[in-house]
Amino acid sequence: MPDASSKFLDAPIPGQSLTTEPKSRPWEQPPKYATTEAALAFYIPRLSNAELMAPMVDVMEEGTTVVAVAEMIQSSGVMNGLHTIDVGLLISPVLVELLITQAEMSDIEFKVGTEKSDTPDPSMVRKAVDTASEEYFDTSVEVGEEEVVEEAPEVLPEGLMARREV
Amino acid sequence: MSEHIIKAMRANEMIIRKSEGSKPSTPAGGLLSRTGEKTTSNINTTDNIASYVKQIRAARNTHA
Repeated sequence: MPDASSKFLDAPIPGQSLTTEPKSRPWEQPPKYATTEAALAFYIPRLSNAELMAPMVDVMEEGTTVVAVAEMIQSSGVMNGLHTIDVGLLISPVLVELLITQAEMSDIEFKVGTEKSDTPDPSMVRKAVDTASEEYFDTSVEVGEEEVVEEAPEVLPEGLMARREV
Repeated sequence: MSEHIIKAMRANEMIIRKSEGSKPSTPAGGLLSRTGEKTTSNINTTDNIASYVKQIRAARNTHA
């Protein structure tokens, strides 16, 4: 059974998008900035402003990865109808670079989010375990390697109630 | 979504690596272009994004 930390609990309930008037949400409207250049012209001055960036730097100092902060910035842009998801993803490398610059200028320790971790990928571990258990519980006999079973000598029943041979 | 951002970053890195020898240039066109046509619709987005990233890195290295 999935636990409370599962990602599926964050997903919208089926039909949730139909619970409001159509086109009443900002992201259902045409975006304010249609191109990557226009979106970056909006973001670059804001992400270069040290005062505006102070809360973001605090968040990165506390251990949130730069990629996660960039994701938050671009998804809030999508939610506010500034740009589309596509444009948000295209400009994300630039947002990450700007955030790294701010973090380095603030002289803090931060994680980008692309570092290789020492813990293996859980999906790969599961796959390896499945493969190993399949081999372990494999009951099929390979062709040409049939085991020769020695037949045990037939023991004739003895006693009063034993069936007699005719 | 984070995985998509990391994918976009990796793709961008590949583009940058291909043009490693060249100096950072300004975007070929669009609003942030200094040399090209600002109103052009013929913008090579991937090259422009790589160009922005290279410029930001160059500025960071210069002022570090």
